[in-house]
Amino acid sequence: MSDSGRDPFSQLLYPMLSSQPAAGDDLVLELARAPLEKSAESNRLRVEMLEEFGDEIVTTAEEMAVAFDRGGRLLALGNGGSATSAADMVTELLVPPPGGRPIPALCLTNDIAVVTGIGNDIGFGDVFLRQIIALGRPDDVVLAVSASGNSENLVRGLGEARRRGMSTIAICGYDGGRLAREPVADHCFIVRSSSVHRIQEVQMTLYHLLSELVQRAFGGEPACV
Amino acid sequence: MTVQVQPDREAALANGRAFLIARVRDSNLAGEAFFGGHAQAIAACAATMADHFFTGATLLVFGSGPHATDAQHNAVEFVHPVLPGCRALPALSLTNDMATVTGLLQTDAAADVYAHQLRILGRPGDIALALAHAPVHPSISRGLEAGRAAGMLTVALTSGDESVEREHVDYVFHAQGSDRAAAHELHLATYHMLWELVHIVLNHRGIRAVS
Repeated sequence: MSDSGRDPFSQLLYPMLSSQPAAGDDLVLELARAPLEKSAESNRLRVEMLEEFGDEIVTTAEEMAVAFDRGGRLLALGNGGSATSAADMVTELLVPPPGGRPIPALCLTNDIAVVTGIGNDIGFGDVFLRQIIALGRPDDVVLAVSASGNSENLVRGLGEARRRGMSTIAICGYDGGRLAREPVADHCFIVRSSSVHRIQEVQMTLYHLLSELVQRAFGGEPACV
Repeated sequence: MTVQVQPDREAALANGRAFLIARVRDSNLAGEAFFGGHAQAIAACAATMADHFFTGATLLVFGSGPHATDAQHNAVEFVHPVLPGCRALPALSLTNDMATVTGLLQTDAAADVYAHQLRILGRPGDIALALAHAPVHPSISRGLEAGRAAGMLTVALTSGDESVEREHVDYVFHAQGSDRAAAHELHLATYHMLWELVHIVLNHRGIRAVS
């Protein structure tokens, strides 16, 4: 594609750059090392996460299954990329693989009218707290996903859920941040990395494991064995 | 109660632990095989995507079910870069507009739910990125066809027993035979890598964040 294409920000903002070379074969060869290195790092973190939290993953999934069996639901929270992790966990439960038992689950980032309404009128720190007050029931399980573990709205949302007798789970990265330090989560899983991407990749495995173990508890065959 | 809580705690833990160890081993082996086979193509695809962004492309991402969340994840990844110094790049998820998606679902054009948006929102030179697990729904194939017909770069991240028709797609990254959840983890890592490599190439060409 030519550098003189439509609306090129290269020309608007960087007019001096149009003579810069496109990525050559040498650069592509260099870049091709990255996927191998990054995938190896994710694999290492997955094993590390399992060594530290394996048993707690098993007991947490069992508690979740018992709560769902009593009529509880999963309420999932997250910001940014973690909001998509929360939404993914919700649809894994609500629309499980064939043979699985559908479990009621809600992602509290879905309703943009609610999120922007609360954010605008009260503050972004309360977008989940207020929904927990309105929607939450004592048998519900509230899951917060965060890379940093420091999101104010997650700390407040999870804290409110715990005060109301719901089960609370946090999935974090780095050192777990505030979600690990403050008494808001019954179970706090930490992917100990400083790369947001690697954290999210291992977090996805972690919540998939939880959902697969929940299905096993209900007698459904997990998709992977 | 339909949930049976195993009274022997040690046995329950050992059972669960064995499941987790096998599942993570499978995940990691799948990752080694997938990235071992696709690393070069991921780099080439990222370089091509960077060329398109350089000339003003928008990334249009679509997928259904769990992959709808990937479409949104791609949008936030590119629009709101996680690393300081990276320029915000235009990306749109075609799964966000519930009025449009549900509106099209109740018409005869349900299989055009993405193709319609690509045709109306997209421009030649844009990038159409689809994510899907087999069996690939017609809405995904038609989206890629529409993207190609509109002159876009087309990329597909697929998994399961079948992929998309490659004649409509410039880059296909297919995780053969994997189960859906494990393959989803490979897709997430793949688009994380595409994002990062796009920025390395753009940096190479002198594109950085606007202050």
